[in-house]
Amino acid sequence: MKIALSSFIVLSIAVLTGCVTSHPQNAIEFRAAVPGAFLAKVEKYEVSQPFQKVASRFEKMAPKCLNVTIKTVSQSTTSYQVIVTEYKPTVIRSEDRAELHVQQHHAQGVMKITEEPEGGYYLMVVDAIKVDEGTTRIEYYGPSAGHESIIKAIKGWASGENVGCPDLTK
Amino acid sequence: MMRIYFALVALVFMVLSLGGCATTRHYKDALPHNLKVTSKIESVTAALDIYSVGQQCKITYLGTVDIDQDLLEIGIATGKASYLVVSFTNSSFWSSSSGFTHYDFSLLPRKAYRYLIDVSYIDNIYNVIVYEINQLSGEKREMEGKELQNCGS
Repeated sequence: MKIALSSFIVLSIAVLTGCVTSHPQNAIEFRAAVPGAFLAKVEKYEVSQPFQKVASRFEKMAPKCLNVTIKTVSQSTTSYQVIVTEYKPTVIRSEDRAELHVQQHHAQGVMKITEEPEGGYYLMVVDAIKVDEGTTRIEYYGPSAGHESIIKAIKGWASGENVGCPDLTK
Repeated sequence: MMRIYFALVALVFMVLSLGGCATTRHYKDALPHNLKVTSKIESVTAALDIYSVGQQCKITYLGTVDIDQDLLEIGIATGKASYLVVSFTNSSFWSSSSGFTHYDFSLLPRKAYRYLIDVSYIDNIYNVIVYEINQLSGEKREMEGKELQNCGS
């Protein structure tokens, strides 16, 4: 059910920004599409953490936690649905900026209606930007509903609190 | 007669449900203790599945340890790789929904070293951190990345 919701959100980002026939094909296009999209949001906040620590946690935790495949089975008296979702995290780091891109590819159970970028549709992009020695600004682009556990985990990587992996079955 | 039948069926179902699935077996803890598992778990049940790793990464299931205490100690073979799976299961007798998440890795325990697996599951966020501790010096280091992915080496 939640996978279906996330697929709906990803499609909404394309459809309601007027791009019925195309999805964002890279992080730049995704950042541009999110502000006006349905069920998507931009959230900016600062954490009292040195940029180096935040970026290092992105680099350590993203491949550990998000390079996964999740199989969801939904069953009722009248239906049976299997959805297989492959997540792909990418971290790009420079001296004072780190970008975390999370993509998702439905290997089974969800129909593709637009061109999918290599690695899957963009689900969220999170930028960590150095403000000063002890402060880092976080800029989140992604769903405003669903995916709470991923969002919470990434906030933990940024803040240093309850650092861990999201339970993607939630 | 019908009532007795339904009562018996319900009883059998309850026993099976509460007793868990019969596909797991308890790990036979017969080796000197060299692995500690510390845990902080909320709202799910956690377990550690232990496999031996043979040639060409062929794994053999040895058993399961329930992570139901804050501290557990077990023994695993040194000098050969083990494949370990920490699983978190969310299920309820009264609910039809359930979830299963796991973190797996291989470990090549060395003699004169002890190992610590720190497991947590709080607020839908889990973490598994593996440490290697030198018994002589007491030096403790976190193991990560490729050293936990090597298989049978």
